[in-house]
Amino acid sequence: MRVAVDIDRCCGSGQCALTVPEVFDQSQETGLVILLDAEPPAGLRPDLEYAADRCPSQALTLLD
Amino acid sequence: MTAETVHTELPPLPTTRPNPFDPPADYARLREEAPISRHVWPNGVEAWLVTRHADVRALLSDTRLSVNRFASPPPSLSLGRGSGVMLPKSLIGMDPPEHTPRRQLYVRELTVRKILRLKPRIEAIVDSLVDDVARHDPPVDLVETFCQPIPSLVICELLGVPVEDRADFQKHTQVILGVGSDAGRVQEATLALMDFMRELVEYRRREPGDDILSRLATAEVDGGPLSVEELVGHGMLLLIAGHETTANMIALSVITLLSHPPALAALRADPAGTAARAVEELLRYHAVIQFGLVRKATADIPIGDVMIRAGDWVVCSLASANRDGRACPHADQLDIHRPPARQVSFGHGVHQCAGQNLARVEVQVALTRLFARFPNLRPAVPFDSLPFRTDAWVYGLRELPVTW
Repeated sequence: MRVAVDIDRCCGSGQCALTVPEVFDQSQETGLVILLDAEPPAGLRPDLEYAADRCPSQALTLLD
Repeated sequence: MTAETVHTELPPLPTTRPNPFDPPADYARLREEAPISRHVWPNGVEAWLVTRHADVRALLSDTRLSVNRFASPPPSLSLGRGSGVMLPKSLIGMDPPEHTPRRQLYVRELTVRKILRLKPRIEAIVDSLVDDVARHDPPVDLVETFCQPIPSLVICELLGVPVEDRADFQKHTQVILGVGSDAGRVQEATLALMDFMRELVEYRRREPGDDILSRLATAEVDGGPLSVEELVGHGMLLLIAGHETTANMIALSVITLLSHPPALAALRADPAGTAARAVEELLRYHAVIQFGLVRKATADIPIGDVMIRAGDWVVCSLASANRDGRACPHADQLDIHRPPARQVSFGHGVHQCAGQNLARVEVQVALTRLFARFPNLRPAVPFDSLPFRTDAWVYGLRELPVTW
């Protein structure tokens, strides 16, 4: 599956990095999201759906 | 029947809790019958009250709702214990685009990773306060001896308050949070802290340390440094935003776990494996910002069956959203084993609490260390006599006398 992040929407809450650290990190310069893996394994889908839902500014999108 | 014009009076904001652990019962009815409806606040201001989880999330993300409230009095609790001092404008009163680069200055200091690096210091602070409690003969008021000093000392670390100044810093913050403080003393303490913050900011501009205030003091936004007054505002915000909220969340969590023995037993049996999830559920169960988040509409917003007009005040009830059965099954039950559920105690949208990761770790460490040290911790007074902060902006306990 594929994941995309919208850096303009990101407000640096870090909730994605907190919940799925294998896929998301935070920049130490801006606090904004860093996508570590744009094609994470399908097994992470439930965690990623949770992270996308939890994001306070809807900056995460799951594709296929 | 007189010849008077019939007024349709707006209902007052529901504020009466059925018990200390549940929000006002009216919220459940409103979620069903009138999820977004007009109410009048204790200070006479009218506002839309938003009660459903999905609507609260949608509106807190809506760019047509502004946090800028300097123009006219917002809906508020009439006899609040405010400082009466006009704090310099800070992050929570700014909208994008002004808000955006300034928020980044905060969130980069409060990332998940940075907080984890701070965790050993938080543990040391909590352990020394647990020792303080243990040195007394019971009963001890946990609020004053444990819950309030934790965030205060952690903020001192974060802001780079020199060790020799921390006693004074604590003294002022105790007055600001104190139960017995009158408005005059609170104002004095607030002004003293602002003066202190001003000196600290100026000192850090000359001699930056490894702390948030130093980095804010030497940062550039829109091509230039932040003014001293804005830095004082940021320093005060970091102090105030993370202090009363965290202290009360710790106190509420302690009494809630003491009142739910199976949950407490699970936490004691496996603190490392249970603490994070337990605290997340406690955050859902208790929204300490008990009367919701206030916004002002800058454009018309059609939502559900209503039309919010430009200029209307809108209050999003975090407590009601957290108990909405549409977002979380059996939402009125405390269940620390439930699959991760949605909660909005830290808000939603671009203003979501910048310190939330710090708050989570503080509460997790406070609870695990306290309950590990005192296996027989219990209230020293009957539950019904505990003074819950039913009228305050931030819910919690004024005192929590305990014995062990």
